[in-house]
Amino acid sequence: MDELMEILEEIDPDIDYEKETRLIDGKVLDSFSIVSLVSQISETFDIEIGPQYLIPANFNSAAAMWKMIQEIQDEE
Amino acid sequence: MNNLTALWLSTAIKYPEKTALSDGSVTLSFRQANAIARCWAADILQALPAGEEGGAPRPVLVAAERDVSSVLRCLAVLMAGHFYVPYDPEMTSEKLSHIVSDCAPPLALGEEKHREKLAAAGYDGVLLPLIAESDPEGKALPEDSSLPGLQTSPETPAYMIYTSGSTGRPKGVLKSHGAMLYFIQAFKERFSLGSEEVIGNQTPFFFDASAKDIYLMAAAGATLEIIPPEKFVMPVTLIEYLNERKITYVCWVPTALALVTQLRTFEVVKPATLRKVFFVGEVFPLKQLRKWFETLPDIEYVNLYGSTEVAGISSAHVITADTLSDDTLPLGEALPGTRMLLISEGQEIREAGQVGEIAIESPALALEYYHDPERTNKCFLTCDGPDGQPVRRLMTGDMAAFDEAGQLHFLARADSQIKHMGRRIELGEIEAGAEKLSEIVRCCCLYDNNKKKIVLFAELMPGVTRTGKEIRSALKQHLSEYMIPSKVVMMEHLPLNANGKIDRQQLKSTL
Repeated sequence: MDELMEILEEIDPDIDYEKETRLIDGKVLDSFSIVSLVSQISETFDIEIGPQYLIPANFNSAAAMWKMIQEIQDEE
Repeated sequence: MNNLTALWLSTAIKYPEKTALSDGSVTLSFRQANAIARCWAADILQALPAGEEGGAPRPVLVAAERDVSSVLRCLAVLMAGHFYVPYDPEMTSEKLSHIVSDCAPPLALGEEKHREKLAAAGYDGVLLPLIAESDPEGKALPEDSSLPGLQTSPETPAYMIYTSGSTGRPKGVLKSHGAMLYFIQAFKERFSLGSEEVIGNQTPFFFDASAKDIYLMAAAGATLEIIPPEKFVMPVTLIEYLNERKITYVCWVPTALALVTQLRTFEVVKPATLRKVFFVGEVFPLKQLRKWFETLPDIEYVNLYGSTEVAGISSAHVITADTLSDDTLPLGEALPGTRMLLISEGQEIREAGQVGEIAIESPALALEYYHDPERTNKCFLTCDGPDGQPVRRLMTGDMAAFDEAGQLHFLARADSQIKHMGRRIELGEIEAGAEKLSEIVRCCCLYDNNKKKIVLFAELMPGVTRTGKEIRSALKQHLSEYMIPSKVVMMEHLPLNANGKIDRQQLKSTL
């Protein structure tokens, strides 16, 4: 989780990732952040995030992203 | 046809029941959209008379949200015989204050929620809240003949776009009715764009490129679908939305299109109704364009080249399998009536491989940099045309060269203007913003072309320590979101060259 937080902080340090639960729906993150987010998560956790995972629900909060990462890791 | 009001009215009369505009929550037919815009034009005229009694057209600020109302505000301004100045409601009040003081608009159109920012920017004129509803029935329409906008001559200003300025002050580029009329007719004919098109709008209405979408709707009777910005965050959602709204045509920045293939969206969903993919504003990463082309070979892909100083675009290249095998895409053929040439040291060059600056001669050229004759005279020259008659020529600052086949290829900028995510930015504006921070002594901003990142090198006040994060946060009060550097490098001393200036080359080599 710490590693994920580091990635997120790097993308935009002003967001309170502990509390924010509408990162996508609330337009807090933009599309260009998503590309770097997806590539950095893939690299850091050595996983492949398929397009089927790219839905707002998986990226609306740090917790949701963490859950998705673990799911993908379990599958792999 | 002399003006954009006449263009819009003739289309609205021709296709009354067709959908003109939709933003996902409000959808209006041409008849409904026209009724609202004409009522608003009457409201505008009451606040700001135009025509013979009122005198010259005046700038009207328009809060440009991603909704139907924002487009109608622009059309209503034209009908009232004035010209509109769209602004980003999320821009800093500092930047908005530059616009307000530069063009001194006597009227602003928006919503109540825009009042506070306008006041903070020093705007003390009237704000007319104008919001479109789905059902505008039952309002008395002003007579067509009473619309001052119908009397407007082609040379009259229609709109002004503020673009990044290297000193930190945005500069206004003023465009006429005639420039847009010429462009949109030429564009529509060249690509056979008609009323069957459903345009998926991506570009915010405060950016120049969005005018192509608005006036394609107005000229062709096409439907303008304003895609909600949150749809762009997740490409699967985006493509599903394109299919849901039956979008046939897009003209986007390559970044938005590349995002789709970078995230392998086509493995899950493919566009079903899309037939034309145009792109403009920056170089398309070829690897991603090839993926589009291979997956969806029946779509027409077109690389457009233009400049904010020109209404619409100047040239277009239709992508073929052949052009995709090259390293760079050609800028393509100039639109009929437009001439593009390469200039080096005042002379036209035609030989392959020689580098020159792109010059454009076209009826689509902007009128001027607003109230800035010095800058205007520097970029807009009067030259002898092919037939010996004097012709206006824009020097674009874009450096290019012809290849062996006589195709023009973009190489670099002559100055430090960059394109980041399709948006035009002067690196000097970012530096000017950063220098406003008291902790920064001097700084230098560069663009990392490989990683597509804006990098700021900053020398801090002695004894001060700041993280990159802190600097980036602080910069948000002076710069628009899309200009914030993605990386800040702290340096004890910035390297200087022999002239005592910051050594940009040396810094560039560290990227």
